[in-house]
Amino acid sequence: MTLVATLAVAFACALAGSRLRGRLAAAGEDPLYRWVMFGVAGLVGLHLAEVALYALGIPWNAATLAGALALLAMAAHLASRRAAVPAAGPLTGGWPALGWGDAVALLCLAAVAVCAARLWMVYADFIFHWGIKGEKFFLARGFDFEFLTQPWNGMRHPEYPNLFPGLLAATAFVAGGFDEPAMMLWTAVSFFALLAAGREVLRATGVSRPAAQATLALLALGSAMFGIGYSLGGSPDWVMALVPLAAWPLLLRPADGASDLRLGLLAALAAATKIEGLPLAAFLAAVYLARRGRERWRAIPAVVLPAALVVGPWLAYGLHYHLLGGVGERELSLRFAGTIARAALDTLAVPQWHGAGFLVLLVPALLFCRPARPAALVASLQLLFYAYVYLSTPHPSAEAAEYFVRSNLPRLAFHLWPVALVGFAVALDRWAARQSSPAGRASDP
Amino acid sequence: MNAVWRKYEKAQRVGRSPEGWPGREMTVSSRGMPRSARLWLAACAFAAAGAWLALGFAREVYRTLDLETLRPPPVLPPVVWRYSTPQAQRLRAFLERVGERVPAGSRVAFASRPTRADGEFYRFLWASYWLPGLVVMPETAAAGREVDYWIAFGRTLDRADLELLLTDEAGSLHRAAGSQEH
Repeated sequence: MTLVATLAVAFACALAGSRLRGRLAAAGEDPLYRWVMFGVAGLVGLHLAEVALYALGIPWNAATLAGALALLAMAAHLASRRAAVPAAGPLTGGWPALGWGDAVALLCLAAVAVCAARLWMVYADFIFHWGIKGEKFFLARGFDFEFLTQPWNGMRHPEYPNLFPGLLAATAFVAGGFDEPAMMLWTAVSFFALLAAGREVLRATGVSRPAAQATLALLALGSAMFGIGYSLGGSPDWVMALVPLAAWPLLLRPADGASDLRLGLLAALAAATKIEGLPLAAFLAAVYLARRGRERWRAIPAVVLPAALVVGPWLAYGLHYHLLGGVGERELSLRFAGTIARAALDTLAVPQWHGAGFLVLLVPALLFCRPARPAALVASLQLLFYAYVYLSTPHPSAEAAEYFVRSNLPRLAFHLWPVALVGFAVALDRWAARQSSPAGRASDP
Repeated sequence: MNAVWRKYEKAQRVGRSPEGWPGREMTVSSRGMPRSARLWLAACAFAAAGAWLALGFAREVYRTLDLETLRPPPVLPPVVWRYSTPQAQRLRAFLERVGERVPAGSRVAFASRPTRADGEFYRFLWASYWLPGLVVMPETAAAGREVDYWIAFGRTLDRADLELLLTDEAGSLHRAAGSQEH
């Protein structure tokens, strides 16, 4: 029942999102990536369905959530039924067969799935706020603002967006209870989506087959290494890592309506998942619209509207229940800059990263690599945002500043690590393959 | 910024793929290191990174298996409890016994033995996770608030206004005087 519940919700979201296929699909893309984008659309739709049901006073349960999601899917189908659906590319990406990199990725995915389902990598914050919120929402049949507003729950981040706890609650309705292994399996689902996005990035950037397989293997090994070692089971940080990687191909494609809406849905997913997803959504939208040039005005509705639909209710409820106090009160100070910098370097050197975390600090160098430039720009802006948060939080002492950095930077780095890794692999492949012809790169067995 | 990119790329001749997609670019250069050497260096870089991350992955998987299955779980302070930590599971078992005696929706104050590094606070977080049907608050928040039940874990509560309902080696459950049933 555990595996069935999670997969049932994931499939329902992907199926609902696929009703938008006329507006979301792009020609020649990896079929796994296409279904990941359908899943993203469905996930955002599920969150909007939960918000709508709560606003209307309708209790959540499997039937009402499925019904609301079906209504949204029907509306999406009506909105896109006249649009032709472009054909996806082959699963093997133009190569004769799946490669060794795909095999390594599957092995790492299996390892993460087993560790997650066996509760061997339960994330501490799943106990402290994500999981308890999900279970409270499940028991309350809706957003439990009474729980979120209790004075002793201030450290449970009541101001955070509620997509992930809502997803856990929806899974609990399907599972017939808050089944922890089922909740943990969302980690494996998110990891699968991350790997699928990585495959599409490698295809879109024209990386040679050997380098693509090697990069996919590195992405899988590194992400699983840190995810298992740092116990990120049940954490939405995998979703945050997915968003910039999945957006990368969209930042490279020629301007079209499908890319506009996809970018908008990814921005909405980030904004509805974690508080740091709000600036990430803004940076994605800004970089994307800047690259659209004169066409940007036509793209704004599709890019901005999905995020506005999730941020609007979050903001409204947050202000109504006074959950957002302190979110905007910041003043930049260099008082503890040295302490913060040292703590950041120490934190990226945590054993679970095995030194790979430092790659994130080198992301700005990817601005000199054309295929990686837009994704690197988004990641660099997000890094700057992290630095701003560390320097503007009113720390009472150097020890408090150090603790603040150590308690979250390893995970924040995880959000940008996939983009960093794939970016450097793309740059390395471009450098190595100079003097090669495009015919040779596209048809190697 | 555009001038910087143009200067950096002035040695390359850039075109477009037959599909007209700017992401697929051809680069041709006749300067610098031979292509074969570049390919070898790149292959070595990928191989070295692969070996490093594979070792790291294997190490983290082994470390997790070691912590969870291969040897008795270590005793840890509450701030770093894992799901399988014996004290966490002991707390869970105690709360399952206690939870059967407390009606859903009751307001419960949770008290535990004070320890270093905010141990009692983290035990409260774990306790509230395992009692999701109750309104659980830490002992420090109970002052001046209506509380229906008190749970003491790893310590005793000697208060005249509390009625002892259950006690065992892990802790005790008390009902506050005058509390209303929910």
